[in-house]
Amino acid sequence: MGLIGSNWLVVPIVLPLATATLAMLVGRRSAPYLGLLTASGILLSVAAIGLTVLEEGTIRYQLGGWEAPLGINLYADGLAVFMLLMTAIVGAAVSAYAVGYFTSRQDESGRVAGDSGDRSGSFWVLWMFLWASLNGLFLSADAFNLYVTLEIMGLSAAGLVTLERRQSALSSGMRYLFVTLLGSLAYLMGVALLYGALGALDLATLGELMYPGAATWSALALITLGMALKTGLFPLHFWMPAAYSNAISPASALLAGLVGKASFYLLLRLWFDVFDGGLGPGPGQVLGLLGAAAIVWGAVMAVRQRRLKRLLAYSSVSQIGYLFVLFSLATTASWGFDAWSGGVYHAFSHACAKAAMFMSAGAIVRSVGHDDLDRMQGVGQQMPLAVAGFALGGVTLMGLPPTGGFTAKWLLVSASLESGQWWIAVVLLAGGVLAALYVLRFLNPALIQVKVGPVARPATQNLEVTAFVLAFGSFFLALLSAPLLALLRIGTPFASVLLVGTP
Amino acid sequence: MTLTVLLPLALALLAAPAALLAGTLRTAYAAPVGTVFAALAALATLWGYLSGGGIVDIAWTPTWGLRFAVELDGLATLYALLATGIGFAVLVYSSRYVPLHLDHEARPASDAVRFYFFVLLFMGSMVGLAMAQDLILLFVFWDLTAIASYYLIGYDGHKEGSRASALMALLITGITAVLLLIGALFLYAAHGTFSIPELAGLVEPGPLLTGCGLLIAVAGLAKSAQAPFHFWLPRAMAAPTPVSAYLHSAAMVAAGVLLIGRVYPLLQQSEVLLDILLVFGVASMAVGGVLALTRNVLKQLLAYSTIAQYGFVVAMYGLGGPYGAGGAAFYVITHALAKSALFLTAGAVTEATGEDRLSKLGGLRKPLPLLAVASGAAAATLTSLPLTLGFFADEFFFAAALERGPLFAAFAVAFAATTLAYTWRFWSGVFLGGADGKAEAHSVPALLVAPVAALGGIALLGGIFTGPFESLAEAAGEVSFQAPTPLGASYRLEVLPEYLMALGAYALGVGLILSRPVWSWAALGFSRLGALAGPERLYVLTVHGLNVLSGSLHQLEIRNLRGRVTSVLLPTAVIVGAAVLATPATGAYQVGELRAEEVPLMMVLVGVAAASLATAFTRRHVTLALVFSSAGFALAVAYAFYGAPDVTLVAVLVEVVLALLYFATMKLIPYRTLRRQAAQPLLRPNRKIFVSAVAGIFAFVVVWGALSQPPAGQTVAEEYVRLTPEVHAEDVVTAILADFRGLDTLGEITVVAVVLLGVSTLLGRGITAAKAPSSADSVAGVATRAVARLLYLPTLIVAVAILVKGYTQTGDGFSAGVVAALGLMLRRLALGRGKTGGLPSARGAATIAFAGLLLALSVAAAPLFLGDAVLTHYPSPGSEPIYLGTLELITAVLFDVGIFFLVLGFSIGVVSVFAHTIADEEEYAGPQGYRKR
Repeated sequence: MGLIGSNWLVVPIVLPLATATLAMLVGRRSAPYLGLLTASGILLSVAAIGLTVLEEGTIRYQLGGWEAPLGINLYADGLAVFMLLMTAIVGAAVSAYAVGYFTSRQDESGRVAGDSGDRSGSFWVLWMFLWASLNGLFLSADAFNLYVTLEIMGLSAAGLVTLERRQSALSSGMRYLFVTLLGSLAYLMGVALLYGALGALDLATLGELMYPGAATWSALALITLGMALKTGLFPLHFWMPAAYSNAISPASALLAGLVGKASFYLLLRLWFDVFDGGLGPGPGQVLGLLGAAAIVWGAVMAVRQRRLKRLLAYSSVSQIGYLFVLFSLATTASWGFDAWSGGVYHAFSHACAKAAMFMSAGAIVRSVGHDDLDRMQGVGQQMPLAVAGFALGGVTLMGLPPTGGFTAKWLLVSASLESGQWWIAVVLLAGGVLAALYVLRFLNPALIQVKVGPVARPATQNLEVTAFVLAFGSFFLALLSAPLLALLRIGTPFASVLLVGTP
Repeated sequence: MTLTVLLPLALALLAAPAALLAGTLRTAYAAPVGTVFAALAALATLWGYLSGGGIVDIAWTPTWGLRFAVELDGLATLYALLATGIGFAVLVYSSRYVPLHLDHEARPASDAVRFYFFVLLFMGSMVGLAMAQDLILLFVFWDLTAIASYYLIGYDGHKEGSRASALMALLITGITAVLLLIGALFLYAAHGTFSIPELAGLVEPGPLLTGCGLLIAVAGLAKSAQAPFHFWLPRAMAAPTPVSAYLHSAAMVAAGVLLIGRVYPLLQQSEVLLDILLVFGVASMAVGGVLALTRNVLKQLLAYSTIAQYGFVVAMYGLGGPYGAGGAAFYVITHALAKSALFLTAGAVTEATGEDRLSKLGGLRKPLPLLAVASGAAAATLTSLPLTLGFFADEFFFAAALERGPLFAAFAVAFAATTLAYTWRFWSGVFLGGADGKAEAHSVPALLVAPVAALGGIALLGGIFTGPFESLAEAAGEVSFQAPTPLGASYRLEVLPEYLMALGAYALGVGLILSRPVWSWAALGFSRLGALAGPERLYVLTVHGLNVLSGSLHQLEIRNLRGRVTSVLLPTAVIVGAAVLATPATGAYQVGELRAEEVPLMMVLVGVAAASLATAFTRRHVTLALVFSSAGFALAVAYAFYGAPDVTLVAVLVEVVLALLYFATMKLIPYRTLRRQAAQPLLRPNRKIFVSAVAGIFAFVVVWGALSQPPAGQTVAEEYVRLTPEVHAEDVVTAILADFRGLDTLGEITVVAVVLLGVSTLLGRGITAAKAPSSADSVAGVATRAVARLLYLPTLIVAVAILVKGYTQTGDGFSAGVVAALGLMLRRLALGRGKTGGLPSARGAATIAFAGLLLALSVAAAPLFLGDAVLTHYPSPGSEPIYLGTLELITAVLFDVGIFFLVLGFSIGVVSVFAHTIADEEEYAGPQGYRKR
């Protein structure tokens, strides 16, 4: 492959880094334009990478020209491209949303300290750093380099949470910072143990050298815990509701949609590429059980919430459970790929849907001035597009066809039935019912017909439209399942299963 | 062939959007457009059926065997005709009723559009449900009907009760819908298809079929409001009357028996399932029949009647045989005609009188004669009087019951009698008797009577010209029964046992009517018992219990951070401990030999341990910071022993900066607070010592076990050492940082940049808004100032030296940046802010930092334009370097320069933000709190 072709791989990392730096240096006025330009650039490069991977298979890129165990490699297989694509789509939508969000905030006074302009600038710089770190995390093939991306990700995300200057946001932001540092630290200790035991940091090399022993077991435990903490797997989700609900809405969308998925991806990557499927069946079962518990717990909590954004945050607790269920299903048996791809597909559809729902919620909260569910009566008439976006996203969470959530649940459910663990299927489906309940907690008051006046602050069209478009995309994501699953097959750790499975 | 299927389906599905579109143009358009679509859909269904039906089967997502399979068979035709035909009648009625209703409720007329949209959506999804041959497709339409019903029942959403009822209906039917899905999935797992006709050929009696069949049947029973899931239906009467009419006769509740009819080819293969159906059916006949006798509100009475009537249908399916399956279909037609007419009557009566209770109504035959006759026909059909369509429905039921045995025949007669009793009660209560003391009636619009007359007329005509109804029911029955179900609906002049049973039922019914005073207390008692300990009570208690449970769980959720962190760390410890204990320890836990030259190193490490221990006993914050630092410095010495001057340098610098930061932070906290905190006794010291000791020993064991097993093969580190000269470096650490693992370094300096931004947004009001420093004098003495002036320039020179020579000798951009920053800070401390000793502003510092980042980034990305990989450095490995004096010209050094500026900017920026914050605090609180030192 030509150098030009593989050079696409560095664009999603270097471009947002450069944008962040430039945006900081040239000032905040141009930041939104730079951000949008970057978003389109990333979309373009990810499309190019995706097409290359689909046509020619996995790509490996040697940074500085150094070979794998020595230098750091970037590596794009189907999974990495899938996540890049997810991030590019959600990221582009949130970028478009943020343009409207911050411009429309400037007329506001009182509720927010008089620094809205500066918050806009900080948002763009932090978000570009965050985007670079996410793309780096998906592409890097080096255990320590992954730690570095984790750190950029955690710190810029914490910065985004604290952009809202209310006391509650500051304290939940600090809590988030603490948690994310704790998670990174656990990961770093795990990597240190791996390096001590195996003498390398390159993922492929680590995978070849892997053996079950005291150091590797400890490393697995530490890394899994760190990532479960950062992803917010039950019962380590305690920081999530506060952080998601107190942040400004574009930040909530990014956190719930993308940041949680990144740490999940990292665990997935290491679990199957390095730790050989969790060094045995036991650890996967534990994660699967916790995932199932998360589905129920998060959903029950979500039904109870009285505030819109907290409801969404608890819904994330529940939806994250679906991701972890795959660990108890994805084995080398014939259903392994189904389970694995189902979990990954769920990450995609949930990222789109939840980001869209947070964006809708943000538009609504900004317009009506509160996020009290009991006072949402008749919002559907005032902001039909935002409520429609919320509803479409909600249907995705329920997992009905033709949403992406349906494909994901379908794959997971069929894998659980094939593997004989039917109780997982029951939990997955029950989660869908509970999702319907908590989505209705909002839609029920929002859609009833009451006499309503105009809202306090009419929403800019931009906010509602971007939220709706993203939700609309997630709604029809199942229709794209054939090409997306084809993409996931490239370089999957379940290649052997696929050979057996294909008729 | 496909058009015969797709035309009715498309018309039915398009009706809702069309009405919505028309309604947005002008509210008044919604009703006619919807009505026309319903009529067209009904005609298209009829046409399709008469042209022989048809089938469409398209692979939807072939990988998972999902198909879009719809067929217009007999069963589908029956329900599609009901949905569209009754739908048409209901829509005609609504075109007058809904404006009146909205007027009563003082709601805008535009709300009507929503009504038509959901009624038509209901109609469309019912038609789809009727035609679906694939379980998943069926499930989709099933859910659509649930959603439509939710909004229709909750149409008067401003009433609290209305919303609660809607939610209850959705919960009961929605949760049981999942059972349908689960059953479908199990069938798919066993047989590999969702297609009902294919499954019918594949399933075999056994636990799997019984289980899956039961799951699916329960979904249908709940939707058809069969006991004990019946309680949502009377509540659903909160809906506007036309909706109730439609729900009961042709849509929601009918969908349940439609499902049972559709999967009947599967169900009838299991005797157990048929018996279960029978039990449910008989129980519902009993519950519905008895409770209908006790109800006072018109629509409530009719609702319980519906429960009982569908109980007949379910029982017929349970009885099985040609009369069972075919008769059930026939019964559904009869019931649909009669019940919709009666509901519409109730609506018209309430509209005319403003009253909906039987006790307040009476004698309406005079003001509303046409309505009385029309609804009389419908009531006669429901009670299966001869010369009505209903007569045959009961005849088939009796025939099926007779085949089963005398006990069921007795049940059949008894419950047919209750039907007569409560129907009489309804009709006679409204139209007969004197009008004294009852609500007065004004005339009702013709459009509210015409549909009732039409439906009643059809029911009467059907009693004479049974042919079309019979053939339709036979066709539907054949689909369910998988064999012809000849019904033979004609009057015969002979004494059949069915006729005798019918006579018996009439007699018993009349007896029930006459003996009402005798048994009414018992029926009321049954009703009270149901309210006290019935399934509805169970539902309410379950919902309440779940609320309480999740409430207590929520308390667990919001505990303090310490508790949550414990909950993270403790499992980690347990898991890691288990991992270490579980793995073989061959070769691990070894103690190497101690060499003489390592004794100083050991002493340094003992120093580290002592300093760490001391932190546990120090209470004063300043001392604590110093003890921390000394542990760090001791570690730096340990690095020096290992011949790692680079690491040592960095460690020392980091310790210096950290100590400064500690002190700066402490300055932010009032001195009194610090002292009070330091004076407080330690809380639960024993527990803390214990936990720390265990954690320490534990970490020690893990690290020991892990590190005493060195990697077997060659490590990367050895390669790095070998390759360092190749890249023109003499310093391995710098080579690794700048060249081999340049991306890590790029990432870490990005971290630094993010932290700078984070600190300034958190502490300051953002970088841009930070004020220019106000003048405040330095507290340093004359000597300090002189020394600072002397030292300031040399530190900068040292910094530059560390920077440019870093690649070949000890040092790197990071150390250089910290040294330079220390120099600037020293000057600032000594000279104060006034006399040109001021640091650059936070904004300026950030500019320096980000310019550094941009430089490093440019150096990293530049090779892209030369056709090399990112982060390649020049000159390339092995080639001859270019010298400028003694200075090697390497791009890696340029990379380091970027790092230098970044670190310099960062350090100054952070200090600057702190300084401004402190200045602000002093202005705010006054200096007295701080000067006591």
